[in-house]
Amino acid sequence: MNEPAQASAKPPADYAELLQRLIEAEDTLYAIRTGDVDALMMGGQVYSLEGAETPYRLLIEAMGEGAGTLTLDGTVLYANRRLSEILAAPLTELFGNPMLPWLAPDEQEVFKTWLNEGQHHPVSGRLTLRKHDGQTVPVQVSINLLPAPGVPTLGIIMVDLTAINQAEQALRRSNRALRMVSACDHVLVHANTEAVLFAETCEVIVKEGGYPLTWIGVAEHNESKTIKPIAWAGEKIEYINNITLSWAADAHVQGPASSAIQSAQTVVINELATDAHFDRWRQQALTAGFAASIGLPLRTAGGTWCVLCIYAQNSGAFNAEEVQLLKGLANDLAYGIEAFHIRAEHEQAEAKIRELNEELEQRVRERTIELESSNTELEAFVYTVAHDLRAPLRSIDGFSRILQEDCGDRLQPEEKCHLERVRMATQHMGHLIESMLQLSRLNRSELRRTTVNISALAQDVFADLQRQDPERLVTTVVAPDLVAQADPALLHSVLENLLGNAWKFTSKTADARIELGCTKQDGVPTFFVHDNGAGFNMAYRGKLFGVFQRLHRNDEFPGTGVGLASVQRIIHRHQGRVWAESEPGNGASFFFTLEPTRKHHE
Amino acid sequence: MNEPVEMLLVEDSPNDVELTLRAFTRQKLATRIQVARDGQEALDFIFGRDAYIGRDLNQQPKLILLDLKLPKVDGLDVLRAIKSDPRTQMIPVVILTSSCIEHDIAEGYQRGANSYLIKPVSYDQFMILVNTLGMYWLQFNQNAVAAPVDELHLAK
Repeated sequence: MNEPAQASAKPPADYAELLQRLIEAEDTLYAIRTGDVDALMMGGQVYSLEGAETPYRLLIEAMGEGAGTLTLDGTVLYANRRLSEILAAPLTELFGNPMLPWLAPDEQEVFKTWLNEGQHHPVSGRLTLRKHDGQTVPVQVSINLLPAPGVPTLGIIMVDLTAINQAEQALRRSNRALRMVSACDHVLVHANTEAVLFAETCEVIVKEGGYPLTWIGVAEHNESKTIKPIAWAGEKIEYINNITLSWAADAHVQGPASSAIQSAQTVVINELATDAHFDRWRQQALTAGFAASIGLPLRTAGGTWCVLCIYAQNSGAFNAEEVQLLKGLANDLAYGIEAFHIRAEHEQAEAKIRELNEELEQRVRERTIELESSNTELEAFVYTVAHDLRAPLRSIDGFSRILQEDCGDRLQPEEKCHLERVRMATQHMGHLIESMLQLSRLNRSELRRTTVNISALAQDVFADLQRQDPERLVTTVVAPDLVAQADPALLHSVLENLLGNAWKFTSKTADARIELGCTKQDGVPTFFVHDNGAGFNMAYRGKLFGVFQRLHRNDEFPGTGVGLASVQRIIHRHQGRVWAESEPGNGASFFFTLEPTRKHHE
Repeated sequence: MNEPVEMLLVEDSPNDVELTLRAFTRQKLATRIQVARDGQEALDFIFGRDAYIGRDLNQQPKLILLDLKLPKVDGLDVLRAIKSDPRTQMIPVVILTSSCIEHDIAEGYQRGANSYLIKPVSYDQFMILVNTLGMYWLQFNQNAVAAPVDELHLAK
């Protein structure tokens, strides 16, 4: 071949030479077609096939694509080896014969059009060839007019697309599989109920997988062991409405659905037109246009009670690759079911706990109401009793006093003493009643918390005690600036009782000393009253805060047994605690808090 | 015609009546004390009704000592009847009761009680109380003179 520079330098010579060669080629082709010559004499020169044309021929013959020349009406003038391979036809069958019959019948018209168009401008596109053995071959066809003088000739190039198409199909399949899996994963993540999970998974399989029908069935534990469809998708829904399914172990009803449930294995029927397992439903399945079916068990911890069934329009649709994909999908779905079961169990447990809690709270509320009402009743009773007891007491005291006044002169000393005892007892009872009334008032009055200066309050109480008992010499120690959030009146009563008790029980102690202070226990301010008085036996501390309970005889230390009971009520109303420590003869310590303590210790 | 009544004691307990009368008479605070044993009788006396028809209503007691828990008409209702009638509303009414319920105290004052006293259990203290209240209301306190009953009737 000439170099391009020379070619452009003398185009006419090149052209003439090309023309000459083409003519020679045509002759050669003719000779080859006729098959009776392998060397030609043209223009006074002998051209053998091994001659000057050999490189072109070899090039064309070695091409990976089918190539050839056609007359304008489509008769094959020349075809290379590859073209004969694509068509699976010997060259002799090609040469001199029309190209048209090698095309698929429904594409022959297109080919004719292209032959016409190819005379004016290059045409290319996909067509389908029909091979000698009847198989079809997808090809990319290019047709263009060969720029040669004389009889116009069309050049044709054909590329076998079989491999490319297969690759494309595989890619499409894998794309589809990916889309399906991804859509199913999406459903799995977002579905908030089992019903939604099932329904949307069916939708995805039909939409992304291109199947005409998908359904999910649940094995019912009834007498006939029916498989009840609980979710489905696809155009052919009437199919599942027209069939009955059972997972009972009779041989004649073993379709993919029941087999999958019974065996917990995937069951594939790729040729349902002939497969005996599908006898029972064949008519309906064929009517619906199904050719293959698959049953995939949805295995959960509780066993296989659900099955995923898919139908395809092509027999053999469930090949190994597809089955593998669908198995993965079924496993994901089963995982989803499992998750819902766990969640449901969890929610059930939570609901149970809530229910129990509510029941408990309700019971506590009821008990509290009962308790409150019984407390109120009791207090009203205490109040009435205490109140009504005062009237007769007043009479006893009044008339015994009158007796003293009117008859005092006439009474013997012993009689006077008896009368005096009557009046003393009356007065004591009067004090008891008064204390009971005070105690009952404590519970009824509203608790009003404010900042209380406990130190100042204690100083006032000590001053009162000293006023009532001017002879007593008691060392009182009050820590400065003790404050608390409490009801001032009630706290005053607490201090009156505790400091009053300390005052009383140190009355027989030399160097009496009473101290009020505060420490922190478990982070809660704990107030204390120490005295060095009579103290008490810790064995009796359980009685200490009881109403009318006394640890000392009245002739030792007088009292009504209401003071500490009042203190405890007040402290409890402040949600605090009160307790005491003592040793007989070594004084007593009373502790109290005015807010809840986290840790309880006695 | 009897001497005008100095004080009306409204009290249902015979014991309390006797103790109270004794306390007043012993201390020479009042001698002419009218006793009403229930609320109805108290109102009959004050307004000259029933057993007290014809009583001179211009001669009202200087003090009414009123218990609260009374048979028939309750003490607080008696109080309201007295204090809502222009003929009687200026008569001092002292409640003397054993009730120390805050509600009773408040209601007593709301209905116009002039004082509220709680009966002490101790007779000695009761004597002190009677002495003090007798001195105050019967001797030191200056009562208003009510308009004559006839004029009031005419005014209506």
